[in-house]
Amino acid sequence: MNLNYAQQKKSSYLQWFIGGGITLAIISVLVIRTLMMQGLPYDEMFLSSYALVDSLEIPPRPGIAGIIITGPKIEPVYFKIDVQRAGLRKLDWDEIVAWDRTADVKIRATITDDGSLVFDEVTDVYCPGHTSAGRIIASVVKTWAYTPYKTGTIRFWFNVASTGQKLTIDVRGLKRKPGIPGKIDVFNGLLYYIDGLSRRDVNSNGIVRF
Amino acid sequence: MAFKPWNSNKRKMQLVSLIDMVFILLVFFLVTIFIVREPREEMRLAVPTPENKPGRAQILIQLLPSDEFFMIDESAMPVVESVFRDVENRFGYLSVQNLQQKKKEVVFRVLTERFTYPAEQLSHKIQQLLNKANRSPNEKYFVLIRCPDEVPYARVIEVIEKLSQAQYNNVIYGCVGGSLEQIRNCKQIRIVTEIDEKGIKRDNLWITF
Repeated sequence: MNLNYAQQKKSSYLQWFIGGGITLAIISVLVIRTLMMQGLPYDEMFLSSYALVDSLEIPPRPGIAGIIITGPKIEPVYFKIDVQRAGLRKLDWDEIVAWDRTADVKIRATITDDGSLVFDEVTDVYCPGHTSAGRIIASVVKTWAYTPYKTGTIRFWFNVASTGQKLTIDVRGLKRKPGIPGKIDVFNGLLYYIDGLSRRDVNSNGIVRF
Repeated sequence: MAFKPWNSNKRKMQLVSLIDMVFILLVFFLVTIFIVREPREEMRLAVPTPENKPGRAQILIQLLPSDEFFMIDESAMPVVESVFRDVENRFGYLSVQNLQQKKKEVVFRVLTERFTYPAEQLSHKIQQLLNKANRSPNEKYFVLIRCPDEVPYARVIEVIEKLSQAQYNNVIYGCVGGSLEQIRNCKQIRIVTEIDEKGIKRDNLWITF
């Protein structure tokens, strides 16, 4: 009887020990988990540390206040030498140098609505002491034509002797042609048709005075 | 009736009940930890919500109850521009407000006449869009699908299903409720020149409700 009582008592202690151990283990897990989650963002609490990180792309959301339908691109246009035009002649810089290595020729021309270059070879060409160079350059420049996006006065200064700007083109007298919608940008492109002249020798926004 | 005599020596702990209780406590704590945290933390969640702004799209597909659909894209812009010019020339004597109203009416009429198609053409029109999208995988095409309440939603699903066949997943879509009448009764239809995020100038059609 006494032995049985002792065994029961021992078994009861064991049960208490097991139950208490489980409880303490669970509480420890809860406490450790709570401590580990301190400072974590809410949505990361459920993610295991080895979970793949990904993000959802939020698609553009149509509104409820209206609709905007994206339209076509508005392409800019370029005011430049119109190489498609018939009768266009190219100036050869090396030839000019061969004719007159100190040539100093200024030309004032008007660009008409269709892009043609118009000037008077007597009053609009200024070439003191370099008459033949002026005549040859003017005869070629006269054939030049531009894309019809700007009109007004354009001035050229051919300064063959210069080591810096051998050609200066003054475009301050040009205005965009009336009738071209304001939303279309008009940019300046290649304003001369000359072989053998480096781009750095040209100033296409300079000042040319007669 | 014979009762079993109470014997204090046979008292022992009921472990089953204890474990039950411990697990109930465990569940309780697990649930309440997050319930308590939620109100504070949910403020950080970035949940996309509809904004009261116009929806930008390259293509608009408006489903109609009459087994037809209305579809416009950038090809509608020259039509709108020419209608605006024509209305200005013909009704230039009207006040600004009346002229706007006239423009809206005429543009709506012309657009619905030209860009309303029978339902059978839906596949063909969407295929044209998909071909375009497949040719330029770097471009994104956003399609706005509008569906009035009386049209079964299955038709929207049909459109979405077709749009999902884009080879490079560059056709994105959004659905919104709304009828053609809403467009007819909009406050204003106008063309606005804007520069997009890539710096490209575009003429966009603004329909303000």
